[in-house]
Amino acid sequence: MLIFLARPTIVVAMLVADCPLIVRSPRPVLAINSVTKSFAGVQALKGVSFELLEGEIHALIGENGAGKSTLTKIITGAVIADSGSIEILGQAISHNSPTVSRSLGVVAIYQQPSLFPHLTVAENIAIALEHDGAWLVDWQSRYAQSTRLIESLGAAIDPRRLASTLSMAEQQIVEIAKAIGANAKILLMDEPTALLTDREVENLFRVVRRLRDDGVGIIYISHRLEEILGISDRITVLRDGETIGCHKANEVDRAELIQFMVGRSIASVFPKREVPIGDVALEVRHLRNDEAGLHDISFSVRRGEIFGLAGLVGSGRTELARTLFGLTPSGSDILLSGEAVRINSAADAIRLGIGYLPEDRRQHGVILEMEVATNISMANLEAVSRGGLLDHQKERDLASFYVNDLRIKTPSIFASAGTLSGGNQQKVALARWLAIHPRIMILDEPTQGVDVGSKAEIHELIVDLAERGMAILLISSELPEVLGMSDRIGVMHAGTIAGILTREEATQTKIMSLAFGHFESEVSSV
Amino acid sequence: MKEHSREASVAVAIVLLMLVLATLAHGYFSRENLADLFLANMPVMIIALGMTLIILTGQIDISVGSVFAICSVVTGLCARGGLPAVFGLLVACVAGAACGAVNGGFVAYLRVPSIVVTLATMVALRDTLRWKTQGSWVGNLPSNFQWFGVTQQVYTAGTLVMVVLLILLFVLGLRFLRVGRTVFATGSNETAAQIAGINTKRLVFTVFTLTGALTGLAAMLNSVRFNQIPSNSGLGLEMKVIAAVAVGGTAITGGTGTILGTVLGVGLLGSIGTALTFLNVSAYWEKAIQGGIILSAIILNALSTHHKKHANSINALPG
Amino acid sequence: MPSQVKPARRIRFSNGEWMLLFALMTEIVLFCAAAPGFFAWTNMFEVLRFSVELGLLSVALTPILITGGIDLSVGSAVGVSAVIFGMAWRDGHMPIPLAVVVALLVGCGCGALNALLIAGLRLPPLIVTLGTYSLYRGIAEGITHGAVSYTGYPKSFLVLGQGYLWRTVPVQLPIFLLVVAAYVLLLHRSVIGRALYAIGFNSEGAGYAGIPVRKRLALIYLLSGVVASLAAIIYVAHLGLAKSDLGRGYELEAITAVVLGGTSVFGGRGTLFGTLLGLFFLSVLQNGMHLLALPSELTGVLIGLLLLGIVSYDRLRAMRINAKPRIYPLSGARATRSKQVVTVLGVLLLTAFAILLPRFLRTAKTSATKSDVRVATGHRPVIAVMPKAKGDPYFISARAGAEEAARELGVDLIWDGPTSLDASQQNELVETWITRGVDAIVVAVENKGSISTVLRKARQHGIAVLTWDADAEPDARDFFLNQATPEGIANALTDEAARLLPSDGQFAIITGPLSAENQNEWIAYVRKRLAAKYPDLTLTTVQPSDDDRDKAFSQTQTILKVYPQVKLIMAISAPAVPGAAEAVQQSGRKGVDVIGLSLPAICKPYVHSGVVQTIFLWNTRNLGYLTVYAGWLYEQKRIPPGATSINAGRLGTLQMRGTEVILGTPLLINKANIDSLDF
Repeated sequence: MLIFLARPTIVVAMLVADCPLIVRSPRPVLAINSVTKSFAGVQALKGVSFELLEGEIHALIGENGAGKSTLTKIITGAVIADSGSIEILGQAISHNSPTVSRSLGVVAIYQQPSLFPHLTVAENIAIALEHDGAWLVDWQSRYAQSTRLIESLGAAIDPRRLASTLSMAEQQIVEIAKAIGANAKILLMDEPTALLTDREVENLFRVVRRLRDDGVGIIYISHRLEEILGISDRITVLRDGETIGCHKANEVDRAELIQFMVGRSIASVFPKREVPIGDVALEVRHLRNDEAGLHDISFSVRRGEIFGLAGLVGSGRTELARTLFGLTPSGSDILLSGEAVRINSAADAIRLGIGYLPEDRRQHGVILEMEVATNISMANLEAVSRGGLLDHQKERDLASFYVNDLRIKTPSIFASAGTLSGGNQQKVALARWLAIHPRIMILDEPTQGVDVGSKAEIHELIVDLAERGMAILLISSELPEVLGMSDRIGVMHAGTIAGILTREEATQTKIMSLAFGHFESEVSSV
Repeated sequence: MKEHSREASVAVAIVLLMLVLATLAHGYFSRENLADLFLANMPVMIIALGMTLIILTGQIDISVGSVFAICSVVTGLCARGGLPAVFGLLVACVAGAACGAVNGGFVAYLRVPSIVVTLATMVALRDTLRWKTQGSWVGNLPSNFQWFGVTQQVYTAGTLVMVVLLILLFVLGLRFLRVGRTVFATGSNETAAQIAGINTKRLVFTVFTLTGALTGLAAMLNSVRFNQIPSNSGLGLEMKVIAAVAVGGTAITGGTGTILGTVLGVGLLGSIGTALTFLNVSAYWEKAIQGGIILSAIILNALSTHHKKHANSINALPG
Repeated sequence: MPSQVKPARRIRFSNGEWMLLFALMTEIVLFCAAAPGFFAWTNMFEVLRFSVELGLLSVALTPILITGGIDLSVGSAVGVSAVIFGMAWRDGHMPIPLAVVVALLVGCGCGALNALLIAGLRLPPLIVTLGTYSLYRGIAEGITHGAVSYTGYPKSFLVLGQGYLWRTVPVQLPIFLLVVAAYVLLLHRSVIGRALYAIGFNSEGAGYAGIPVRKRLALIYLLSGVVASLAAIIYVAHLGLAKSDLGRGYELEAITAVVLGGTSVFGGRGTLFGTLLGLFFLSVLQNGMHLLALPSELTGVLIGLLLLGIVSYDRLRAMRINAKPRIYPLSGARATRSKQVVTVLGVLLLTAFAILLPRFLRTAKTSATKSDVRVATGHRPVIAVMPKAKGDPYFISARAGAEEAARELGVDLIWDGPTSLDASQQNELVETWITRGVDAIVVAVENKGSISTVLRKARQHGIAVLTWDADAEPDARDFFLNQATPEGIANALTDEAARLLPSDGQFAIITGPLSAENQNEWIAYVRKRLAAKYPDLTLTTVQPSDDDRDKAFSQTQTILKVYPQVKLIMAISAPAVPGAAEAVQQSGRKGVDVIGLSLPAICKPYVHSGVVQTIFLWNTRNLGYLTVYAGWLYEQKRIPPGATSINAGRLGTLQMRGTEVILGTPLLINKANIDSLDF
């Protein structure tokens, strides 16, 4: 994505040596040397080395299970390494712990912002500020300080708002403000943009670059390679617990990175195929839902068609999906294959053949503590029961079928879903909906936080489903995905569909201009 | 001031009750009756301060009644053993804190659900006390035990000052002390609190221990109102305290609530029993009316917060 | 690609359940070895009979805890269903089946209110049911004024709680098993059960899978109310009476059983099988402890410790497993097995130690003193005496006398009773004493209707049955040790009040709990006496003290303010007299007298200061002495039929009237004689 091209900076210009760098100036703020870690006999890290300089954005990439999260946990002290050494700010750390690492200025920001929903923005920031040991809190100066911090990030968020009222993007900004307030020397960002729209990402990156220019070392973890190429100075690739290489961002391209990560090259990214488009499967006319903030929505999806739904976070895409699926009923009719129906609950939707793969996989998509088999049968218990009583054999057959069909990597259908990798969890969630044989499938960010390999498999699967005659509503914040997969694209803005583009006429620019309307929407004001 | 809308419903209920009492019940607002009311509810008030903290952190303690009984007996034994009152007070607080620390230890460090831990200690402590005392009262207390050897008026005034100071301390502490904010933070989002470098385990442990100490204090202050100490005091105390905190608007899931609300809750529930007698309502219906009040307070609370939630429908529970 | 995914066998038994099963087995083995009469089918069935009501509640609570909720109102729902059942039958003249339907509907209503608030308004279950816990109990007390107890049910109904099938199996057992089976189907086999687990793990996620979360939640809270009312009906049939305090405290006992059985209060985990294990563990423990004649309080202590032990063990294990990535849950279980065995053995040993040590000490202590008696008689009689409540000062002072008599006669004394007033626990204790094979049972009856059946059974087993303090049905016991009749007490109190008050004076009564049988009887006789002899005296109000000194204190304070014309407080529960006296003293009001029924020891300061004019009591120490002495006399066949007097040791000769032994008239205690009394 062009808008994310890295600005050349002084810091980058100073990075002259090859990786691993021999220390000149700037000095390394973090040095990790041949660290190993194993859990219950599984070697998660097999001698990883990593170095972060001050004033550098260093991307860390790798497929899920490559060891990224273990490495970050070792840096934050949440996990203790088996062997190897860690130096933070030139100081060898023998016993790392969250307290130790924090006191040295290591701050981590996760994909799901970890704010306190019941506290105000200022209070959230203030808690992070308090490392001066003072017992008393001077709230006046705290409010002022947090306002200053937020303003310094170029955002306008009222510090008196409750954190629970913030959008995802605003929450990320507050997280960063917290980090700056805590005087971070090393900032760990784990998929910070996963829930943001492009515009918000751009804002975020402006902030991140400013931090880098102030000398903060930033470790940036993401699955979005375009972003990584755009923002980072160097990129370290992990695969199977080993460092595969460390490259300057301007010396590698996307294809190379994928090859490093998976050990093979992936030819086509979006396996879109032309399939015959059938009758109208789903149609809404002037849909209005005050509770969800939707109004005047009209569109239709045909059998075999993939209808992409783009727009900013908060523009109403997820709300539309929840309305169609009966989670926030609208009270008005929806046309299914020309027949007017009213969907008042998720159970209604399922009965009518609508499946919904929700955005938040871990919270809503699967139930992590339950077995793979029970997760798969969850939405279709009627099919595996007789007279309200479960038939366990049928359930096992159903689960085994989809485990094989979708190539879900699991030790057993009785393993709990939480033990699977993100991509496989997503497949389990998908299997749940395939099991109801839906006519209409709503996919909300189906590849978010999923590693490259699984991502391709899921794309392949979506096309398969369309080919079988399913009508698909694909919500995605990743523009290339929407563009690459959809037959038509509806762009949402402020609770309604601002425009519908065909595959041929759609471009990133057109989508973005529709998404923003002709003014900056409230959500993107950061 | 949206922070205070939660207490508003309780405050309104209290005002209504007061209006009814002012018109119908003669003498309810006499100084004498108010002093008696205060003393009768003083133990609940003191313990409710600690309980508010526990519930704010998302926990619960149903063992306070048993701890109260133990501390009362301990107080008596100290006094009979000739210890001066100040020491008795200290010993009672320490005994309470020790019981609280056991609860807190299990909850914070072993991560056993607090309702299970305190259910177990409630039963075990109460029965240990029964076993050891065989139900006998602690009598033959020195003459300077009652009211700490001062007059009743001085004791009442002193206790009032002490309770008001405690309330102020808690209100200000929650607002202006670092640790106060960490209580809300821990109850609001424990993982996030840990990430923010808050030692949530130590905090939960401390809060339980503090509540134990407050229970000891309440037991001591209550015991000196009499000249002998029964060994079965505090039965059902936990329910009174929790109900008061909940009626005061503190969310049982943690994260939100105020001391002011708790004070109002104690006030409402504490005055209702006496008020019914003043209004000539049969004692037989007292419990039902109390249950009704608890329920209506929660329903009112929920209705007032539901409106806010709808604006932010993403958080709404599906189904 | 793992094209071959072989379904591994499912392990339905969790580690915690294995451990509990193991603990239960060990407990049974230990009791078999140590407790006389424990290992017998009849005893086992009795244990089961007494666990049915609690069991029903535990079963109903299991799915609720699995969804991460809680229901504190079940015990109160039992109370309100029971009294409405009794009311419908006796006052409404409904046939029993119709009354049963009414009771079930009441339970349904209780459940529905919880369901409405929890599932409908999405309020937290803990707080909602804390409110309904007060509300339902309050309604039960309100409509019965706490006092009414509905008794006198036809035999055909009582069979439900007291009868046997094929002379061995308690009738309520099949009903319980049916409910269990229904719940097993619901929870472990049905689509709804699956939904409940999903809700417990992640209610939002369950909603996204199309599960009607609120409907499911509403269902289980509703069912919990219905099951509570079923438990109430069985309870009524079991005890033969319906009263407002039935099922008090059951909610916490039921939760204890469920949690002990491995159900997580965080939701998602737990099985009915575990709950049953937990329930049986508790029941067997209680039964065994009673058979061993260990004090009831010890049971509570042990249960508390075990609950802590088992749950924290589970947490420790979970923390250890969580520390590693869970590759495959089954292998994790295998890895911890050896450590688990060690821990199980540790817990068991501790339990065994705790149980056996006191017994060991007890036999060691008594064997020395009784050897001479044994030589003389060849058999050392065991006399079991039960107070109404162990913690009551009144009964504590009686105990001293009982122990004195036991020493003097060289008999073994078992002194045990409920820790607080509880008719059902009295029945249970008598049952275990029958099983244990004691020689004489002397009971202070809490409820006439409920205990008589089991006392008759004891007589059939050739056990001498005597009652004291309050009588059972005359045919259910051999003798009643009559210290004073309710009427005599009430008359003495009323006469004393009349003496102290002007002829048109007013007085107030502070009673014990509103539902206390004795006190209510006294109050009735007081009213009768007033009407007959003192029509100008007014009983202004009756207020409960719940046997709590502090509550009596504040009730009196309020009475003094609201009814300034009240010049006398009649406190008829032992802790209430000092409470009322202290209130009068602190009020500074002259001219208000306190009289009542209480013990000299705790009233002494107030009698001396003149606040308390008079207290009535018989010599409780002597009464205690008499319980053992008379029990021994009768057991030794030293009371011939038709005797008109007995020689009761240091008490001298006591008159008999029919089958009643008269201790003497109530003692009038005042300033003059209080210092000479030592109880």
